[in-house]
Amino acid sequence: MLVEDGLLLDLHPIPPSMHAFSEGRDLGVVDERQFFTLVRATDRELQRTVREGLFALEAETELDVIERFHTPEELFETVDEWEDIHLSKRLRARLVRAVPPIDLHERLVLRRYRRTRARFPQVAESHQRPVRLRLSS
Amino acid sequence: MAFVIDPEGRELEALSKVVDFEGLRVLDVGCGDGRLIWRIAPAAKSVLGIDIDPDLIATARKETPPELRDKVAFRETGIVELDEPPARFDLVFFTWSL
Repeated sequence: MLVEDGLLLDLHPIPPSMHAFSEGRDLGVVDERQFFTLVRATDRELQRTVREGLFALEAETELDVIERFHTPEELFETVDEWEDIHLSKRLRARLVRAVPPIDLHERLVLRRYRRTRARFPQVAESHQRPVRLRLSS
Repeated sequence: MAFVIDPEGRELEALSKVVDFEGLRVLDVGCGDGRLIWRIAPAAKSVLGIDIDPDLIATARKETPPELRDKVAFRETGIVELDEPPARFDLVFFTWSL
């Protein structure tokens, strides 16, 4: 499916867990412990393909993104549809009283991999030095 | 009004620093409602967005800007079930997909 030397981009959430904000005030943390268990398992599989020399990590950057909700109900409806992500009763109570918009702040990692021609790690060694990029905040 | 993901455009800023989509044939896995595809499609040669959520795919198709309709396509499927020939894509993008 992917050409030789093709690129693989992987963008996904990483710890720490999301925090909810309203009017610049931190209302509390969203429970993502179960979700991050799945993230780590998936990431381990991807890293295995790197160790096996199928892909090489070329660049990596972390970024913080916001998900903005216009009402508490919109947030509840959305989060309740997410698997393995939960709101505590205490946070729900704070969110009900919060002044919209309500922002969820989330940390993501973006990684660029390249499919290697080599099938063995030692041949792909020249690709193994990732470049870390810094984004303006 | 639907909730807004990344109103500050951080994702696009990060993407532009990590990859140049110019002329690439892109597969977006977990494309959702297509919000990132609209941003990368103008530079790309073509983009196929896939997602297992039929509602999101329907939204993506409906909201495809007319000027991008000749280079963007959507399919309701997962990556495992996707049947495409070898060397079909230059870049595969896993967007928040596990």
